[in-house]
Amino acid sequence: MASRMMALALRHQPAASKTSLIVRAAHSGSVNPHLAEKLEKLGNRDVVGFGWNGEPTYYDRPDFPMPAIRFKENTPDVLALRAKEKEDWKKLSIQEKKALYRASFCQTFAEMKYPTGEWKMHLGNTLIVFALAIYISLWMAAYIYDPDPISFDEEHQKAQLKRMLTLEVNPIHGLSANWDYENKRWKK
Amino acid sequence: MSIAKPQLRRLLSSQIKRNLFFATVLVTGLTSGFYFLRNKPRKQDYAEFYRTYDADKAFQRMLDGGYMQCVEKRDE
Repeated sequence: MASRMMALALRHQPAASKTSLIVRAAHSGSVNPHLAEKLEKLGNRDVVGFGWNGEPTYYDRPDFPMPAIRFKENTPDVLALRAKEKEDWKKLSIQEKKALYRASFCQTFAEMKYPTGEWKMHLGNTLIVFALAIYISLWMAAYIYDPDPISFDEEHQKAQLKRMLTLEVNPIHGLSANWDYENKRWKK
Repeated sequence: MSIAKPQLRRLLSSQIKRNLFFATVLVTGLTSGFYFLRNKPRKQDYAEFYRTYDADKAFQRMLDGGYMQCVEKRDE
């Protein structure tokens, strides 16, 4: 009961700080192996923010650039660089700046946004499905469908066309516009 | 690597102004294009056709073809 209230109170904290995780684990240690696992995975890393859902996770997201934890664990050299970072930045060499970046982040924006060429796979699969569809429809036409009704043969089609011309179907822009009624033939 | 300083303030406002401008231009252009290239010539074609259209002759032609189910000949 007390541990549950503690958990509820912790839920309202703005950041999933490491201390809050430890407290949670301490109160519900044996019943919740997931928290212990999480702490184990977290290791020595700093929790630097809320992240996108409060969990201490790391992921490179172009739409959410600030994950909740640093990428690499804190080692003595990184800590030394951090101390140097607190002074004038002009004193940092470019290598040191890059090392500081790579300690906190896995990839740069350029690297995470780099095109993967995945669209070619999707296009290929789509075209394969189209090809299969065409195969199947040809097979259906050859073996499955009933034969065409009689109105599809040459004589019937001619009679239908004659009727459409006599009744002046689409006489301005369409069919009968191309028929010369005086000379009974198609206009050139 | 030195690029031009990007616009940092009032981005939405400038975006909206730009979008309004292009929207107006596009809409005016497209509608007048449609009007002058499609609607106007079509109306002229229809007017031309019916100016010289002999309806009685056409009707007689249809009767002769035997395609009328309700009427046999033109009654005066």
